[in-house]
Amino acid sequence: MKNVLVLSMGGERSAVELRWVREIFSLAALTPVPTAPPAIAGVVNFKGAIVPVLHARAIRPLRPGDTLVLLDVEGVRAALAVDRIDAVTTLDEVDGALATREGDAVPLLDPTGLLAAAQKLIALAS
Amino acid sequence: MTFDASEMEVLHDFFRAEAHEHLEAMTAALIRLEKGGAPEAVDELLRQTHTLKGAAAMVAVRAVAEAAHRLEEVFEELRERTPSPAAFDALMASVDVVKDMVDGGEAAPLAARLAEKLAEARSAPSSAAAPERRPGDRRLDPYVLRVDVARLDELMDGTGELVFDRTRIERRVAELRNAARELGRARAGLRALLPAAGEELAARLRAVEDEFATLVVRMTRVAASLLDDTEALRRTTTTLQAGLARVRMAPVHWLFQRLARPLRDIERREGKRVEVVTSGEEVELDKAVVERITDALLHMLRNAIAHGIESPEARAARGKPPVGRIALSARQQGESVFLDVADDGAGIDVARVRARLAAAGRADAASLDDAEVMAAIFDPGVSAREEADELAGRGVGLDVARDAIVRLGGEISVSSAAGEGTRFTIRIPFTTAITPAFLFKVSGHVYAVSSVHVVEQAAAPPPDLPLVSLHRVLGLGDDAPARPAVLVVDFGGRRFAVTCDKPIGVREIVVKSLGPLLAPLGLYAGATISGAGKVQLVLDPAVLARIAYPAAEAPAPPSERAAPPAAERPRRVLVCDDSRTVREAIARMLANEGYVVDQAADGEEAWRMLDEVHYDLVVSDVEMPRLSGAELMTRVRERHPGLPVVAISARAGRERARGADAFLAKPVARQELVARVADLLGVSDSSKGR
Repeated sequence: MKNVLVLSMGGERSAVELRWVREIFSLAALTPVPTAPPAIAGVVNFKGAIVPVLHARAIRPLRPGDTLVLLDVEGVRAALAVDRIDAVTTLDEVDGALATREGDAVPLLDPTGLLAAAQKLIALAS
Repeated sequence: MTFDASEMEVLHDFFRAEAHEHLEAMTAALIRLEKGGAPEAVDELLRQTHTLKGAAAMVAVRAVAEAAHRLEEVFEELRERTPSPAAFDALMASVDVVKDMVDGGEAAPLAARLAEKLAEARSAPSSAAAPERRPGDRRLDPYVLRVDVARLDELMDGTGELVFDRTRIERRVAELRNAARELGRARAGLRALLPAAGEELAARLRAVEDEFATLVVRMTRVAASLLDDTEALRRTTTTLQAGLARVRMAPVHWLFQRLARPLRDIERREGKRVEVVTSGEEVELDKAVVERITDALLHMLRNAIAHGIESPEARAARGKPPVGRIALSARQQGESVFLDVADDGAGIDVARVRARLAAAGRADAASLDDAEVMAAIFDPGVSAREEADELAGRGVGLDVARDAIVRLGGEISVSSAAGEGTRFTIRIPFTTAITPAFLFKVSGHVYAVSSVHVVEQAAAPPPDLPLVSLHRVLGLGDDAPARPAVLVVDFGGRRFAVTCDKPIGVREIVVKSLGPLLAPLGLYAGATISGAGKVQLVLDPAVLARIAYPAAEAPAPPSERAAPPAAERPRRVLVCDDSRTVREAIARMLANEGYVVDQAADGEEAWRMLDEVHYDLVVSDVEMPRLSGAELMTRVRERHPGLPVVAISARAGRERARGADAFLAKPVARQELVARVADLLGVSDSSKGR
């Protein structure tokens, strides 16, 4: 049993455990970071702090109003750009994926791995 | 005494500033008087009106001089009787009318309004008893000028221009030297002609040649002394800039005084009596910071009065004195200024906030613990903004107040005990909060670079300097404009030109960290948030300098200063010691070797900086307040394995420095320090810049 946020990115559904989710907010003004890897869409101002925006499965450029999920892994923060939020719910874990009531399997997103991957990409870019 | 028009204008500016100072002091004195501060407050009122009258007469602002005289007459009567609250209202309104006059309002209707308000103050019932002196009133030095921050900014901009001016003069000097050199060549040409000339002609030519020689010497000498003059100009500019930065600091007293009037309005509106106790008035804050937190502080006060302080009856029932108490205090601690707003009211009702959170759609409202609920009062939609609109007329909610403080690089927290009161604590960085930066546009986005490194704005790239195209550096391809704007940047003696689309100019910005994820990117020193809330990237001039002077070509830097020790890039060292002298000394030793050196005053600060910037090595004291060097080392080992640490301490501290890669006993010897650091960084002598 896991408390999760079910979301869609690039047309695919996945789930993030709620414990990593700090806030859901909508994109106001995105500032591109020219030398960052493409997976970093840019940075935004979140309550006075500078937060990078991850655009993991980019199929179109971000627009104001797009939904961002602020992830916080032990103080390292990043906003994940998503197509939409589908549900906040409790799901059972079956073989590393989560099963919805309808029986669909939703892959579980690992924010720690995601941020580590972003970190690696940035290290390569710099 | 007569002045010409421009002198008069300047004098009027001075007068307006001074008059506001007097009128604000009058308001403050009236408030003290209302709370029983006589006769000191009456003395103060009379002194202020008298000075205002004199100043107004001096610059021939007759309406204000007359108004001050009227005020003086009425204030004189306050020695004999204590006015009623209604009379106080009328007196304060009178002072406001004079303010309008000073600001250039039409004199006749304002004078009529003043007469009306003063009559009101006189006719309102008052008690005949002469007011009593209250002990312990203290005042601050009245000889303080009130200066508009915008005017200071103009001065700051002016000194910035001086830097450009100096650079221009240096160019002219170079031209002058070239001309002298060419004259020297012409003289040589002349001399070559001598043998071919007849005897008489040769004698005359020799006289001309002599004159040439004298001219060359004189021109060279003038060029040299001009260069000395520019050096003097540089020193003066630096002094001016430092002085202006100090002028921008204002004692918090000023901020507290500014709050007095709106505070009183809130009191009257809420029908509650409050005694405000202030302390730490002498603590200084940057005026620009004061401008930006006044509304936030006002909101805390309004909150305290409206929601914190109970009605006199409720207070009596709880055994509290009927008059509520708000303590406003300021203190400086290290690099931060702390402002406290503490009331002795009912405290925050956690259950009510929880209910409000739930009403605002927070699904987790029930599961939050009390501290989390308390922290959530700063979230948008939780504090009641509509009440703020109505009361303070400024529409600041706690979320907006918090944002204003965060934008300055500070933070706000709240603590509360049921029945005992609430305390808001605001922390603001003391000086580093605001720095000047040069802003410019590239491909539609605004970027900034610390303005101390920008020496000149040029129409075309100077041919003798390396050129850095920001379009290329930022990977923005070929949409560079045909005639880009050019900035000349000087970083540690390495001078280069940078092209951008459009320069914007120098602005005061607050530099923030890009966060742990993006910090390794280089190129950026951080980011700032524009007035509109958009993020603007701040470029790191060190990286631009590396692009301008790549290691492969390694041209000699134009100045005599040291080049970076490593060929590829300058190594960055963090020096951490609680003694300013020690860290300054060590920083200089290392900077002399060409390292980029940052300083931290204690372990806590060092730890924060390590998170924000990539360092190649840390030099740290072992004994420090807050976070000791030993503990810092343990943490560094965990989060930044492989980052070399040099521990410094008194000999006895060696034991505690066991985790370090090297240990140096205090006082640190230059040679030993330099050798150890070079060792640990794998920098050989031959790869150093010199």
